Amino acid sequence: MSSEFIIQAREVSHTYAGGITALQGVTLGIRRNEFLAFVGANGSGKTTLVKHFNGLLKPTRGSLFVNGIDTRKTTVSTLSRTVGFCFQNPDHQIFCYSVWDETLFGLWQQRIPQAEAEERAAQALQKVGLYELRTRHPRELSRGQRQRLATASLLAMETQVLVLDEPTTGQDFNSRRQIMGLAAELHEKGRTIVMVTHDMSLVAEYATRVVAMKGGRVLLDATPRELFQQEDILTATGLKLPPALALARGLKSAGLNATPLTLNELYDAIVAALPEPAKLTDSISYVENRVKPCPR
Amino acid sequence: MSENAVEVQDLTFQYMGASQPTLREINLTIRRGEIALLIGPTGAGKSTLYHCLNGLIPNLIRGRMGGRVRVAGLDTSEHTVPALAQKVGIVFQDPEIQIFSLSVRDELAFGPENLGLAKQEVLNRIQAAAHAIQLQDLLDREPARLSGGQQQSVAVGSVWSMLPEVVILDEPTSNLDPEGSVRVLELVKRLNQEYGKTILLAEHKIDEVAALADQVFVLDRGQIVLQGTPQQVFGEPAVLHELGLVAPAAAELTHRLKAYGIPLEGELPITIEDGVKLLRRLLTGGQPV
Amino acid sequence: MPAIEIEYHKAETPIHRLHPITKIIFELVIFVIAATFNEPLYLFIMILVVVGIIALAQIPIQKFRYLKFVGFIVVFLIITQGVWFTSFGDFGGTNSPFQWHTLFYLYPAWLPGGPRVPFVLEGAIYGLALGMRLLVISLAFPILVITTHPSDLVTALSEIRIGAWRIPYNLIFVFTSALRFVPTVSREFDHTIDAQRSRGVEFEGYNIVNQVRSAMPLFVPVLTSSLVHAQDLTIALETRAFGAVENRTFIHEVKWGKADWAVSILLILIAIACILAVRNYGLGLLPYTPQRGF
Repeated sequence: MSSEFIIQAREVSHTYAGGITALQGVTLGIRRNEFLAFVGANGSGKTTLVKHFNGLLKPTRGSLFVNGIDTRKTTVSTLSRTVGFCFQNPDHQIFCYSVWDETLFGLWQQRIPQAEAEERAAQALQKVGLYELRTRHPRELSRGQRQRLATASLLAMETQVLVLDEPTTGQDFNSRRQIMGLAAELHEKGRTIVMVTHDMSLVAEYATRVVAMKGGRVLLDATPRELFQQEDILTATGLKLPPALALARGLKSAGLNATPLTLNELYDAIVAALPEPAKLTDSISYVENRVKPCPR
Repeated sequence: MSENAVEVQDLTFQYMGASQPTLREINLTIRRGEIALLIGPTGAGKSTLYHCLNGLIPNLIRGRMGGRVRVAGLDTSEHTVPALAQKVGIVFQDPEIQIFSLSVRDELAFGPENLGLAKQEVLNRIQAAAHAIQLQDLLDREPARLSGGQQQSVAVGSVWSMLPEVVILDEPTSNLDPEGSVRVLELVKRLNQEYGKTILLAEHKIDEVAALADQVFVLDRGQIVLQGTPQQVFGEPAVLHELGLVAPAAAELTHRLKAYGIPLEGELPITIEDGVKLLRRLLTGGQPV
Repeated sequence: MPAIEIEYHKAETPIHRLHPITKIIFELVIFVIAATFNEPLYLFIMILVVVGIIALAQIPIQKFRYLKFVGFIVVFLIITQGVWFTSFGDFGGTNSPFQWHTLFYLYPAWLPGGPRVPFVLEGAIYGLALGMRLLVISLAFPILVITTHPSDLVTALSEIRIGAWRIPYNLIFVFTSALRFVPTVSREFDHTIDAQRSRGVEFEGYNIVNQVRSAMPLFVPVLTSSLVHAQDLTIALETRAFGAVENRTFIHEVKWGKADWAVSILLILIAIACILAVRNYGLGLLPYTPQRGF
């Protein structure tokens, strides 16, 4: 049980009550401060696997350790102090009468002293921009705001690991940027982020490591760039290249040799590959190009 | 028979008890056989717009409506919801709440049965719908046991069997994985190309649908702020970015390159293929074309 | 929330082939007979018959998991009836000088003062009979739903005519669809439980205070989402012209056959026979219960 890994899975298998085996002997370790994405088609086992990280599911074979503790020997309640889960639908958890109470709820459950709890709640709400609305009833908030509320109540728990389950499904671009921006910020501050998604652009833009799954098994465990270079894995998992990479691939024969993970990187690569790179009508430097806001 | 499948003139709608109108002075026209793409931030009023198109507003949902909506020649204020349901159908995001039956067959039969059509007619329509959605072999399966993409196809089929002229799809690929998304979008293309249906599609996944559209409408806070062909709409990056929207990747990239003085001429690329073609000329031509 | 598994289970058995109306008659007959008898022995025979039918219909045992709750209720009835029976004058009206067998006293005889609350054997037997009635009905009721395809049930119910009146389709739809949404709601419960457990809420634990406290985080989100689903459902129904015409078409056909005549008539005869047996001969009735006046 190495302390190198904050989460360690050893030959984890999981068979549901109905007889379906969703996981078949998965072994992997997650280190602190990784930004890890699990990808794969529906039914590949990725959601099943991440639900083991906070004990919602226990392995039917094999074992899983969080911070060295065997998840089979402890409760979800205890594990929820280390691993926080952000679910897709905020309405599955919101039930309090005020935004403030909702944010505090998880902290009450953990028996955090009131003063500290209130401070954490205030900070979390400010971070998501809901502090002014703290006395309102959650039903008065829009769907996007409720999503932020659910995120705030999760942030307040200040867990080392944050699991995001399909964070951008059905979201418009703004919400997507907000949520992922928050995740990126937390990652910069040292937290470990685990993300389950089909959106390959997310993987390209944010993840430091990606695990591709199929049929309950791990097909590939590598960096995003390495994944995108393996077309057979992508096809096998039913995933598509993010646009920046698709464009880059099409331009390979034109002499572009790059694996850009974002449009920004592609832009840089193209400008660098231009036959006469200084052919700019304005004298704007390449560095400034990077600074100009552009949706990633 | 009118040339336009959908005609909306000066549509304004305020829900009863709301402090502000949800839709303001909407004007849009969709020609028969077109695929129109509707984009906009969440909360812009898309659902309200659909409800105006299929008659739920003003027949069943209360509020103040101004302006006029005609769908397939029928004025929505003058016809009942069942009558309009045979002209325009809506497929929603979540297959769960649209599917009631224990078999695909029953699901496809639901609409026609409600209309009281003769039994043989109902059976014919089931076959036709199953053929359109390409699930002929799964007629007796339980929808709950199908994949997400197949379930959405069943939802489309259950609307199709009402034989509407216009099909509205509200973020149909939201809850689906990439494989399911592909299936549903292929279906949409087929409905339009093979069966001539007029389509109104709302989607956030711009890259996947932009190429399909003949027309694009951008809805923000109840108003159409931009409309036109994909080239026209996606050629306005400033407007889009301000609304928190993005153009397809190829277009975004082209804008950036242009903004920094790299001259690129020709039509704005919407698909990856078009983007590659344009950029290839840039890189290999030796000079900007 | 335990998945309530009363839903259609496909199989090829004689029970499945019967017309839904026949099965409805079966349910009614069971109800009538169970209400008539109150002697445990007779009720036990009924239970055996129903179990036989369940076996014939090849219904898997898992569908009856809810019987655990029924078991608790039976025990509860035995205990309370044992105590209630004579102490609170329920059966004071009986004029047969019956010898009660007191098993023990709740309040010991040797303590001064206080009512001596006896636990009476006959009361316990009566309680058992009440429990068994409940058991019979709980066993028999799901048979209709488990062996009948919902579409067939819908068609059958819509064909019932009493003169010019028929059951409105809206009502039939509500009844049959409610069952269809049980798995959906069950899944909502599962999602909510997962989300709340991830915040530290404990749902396990037999502490009654805990259970009550954890009800809110569970029921509020589920109720809310059910209401939202209901709204969305309404819209989905409207777009499929629900309720458009008086004479809705049904592609499913159910045929009334010879077996149905035979079974229905047999059931009705049995019901009549039982009622007569009880009324005229006092069969199947505990001697110390007043005749529930027919």
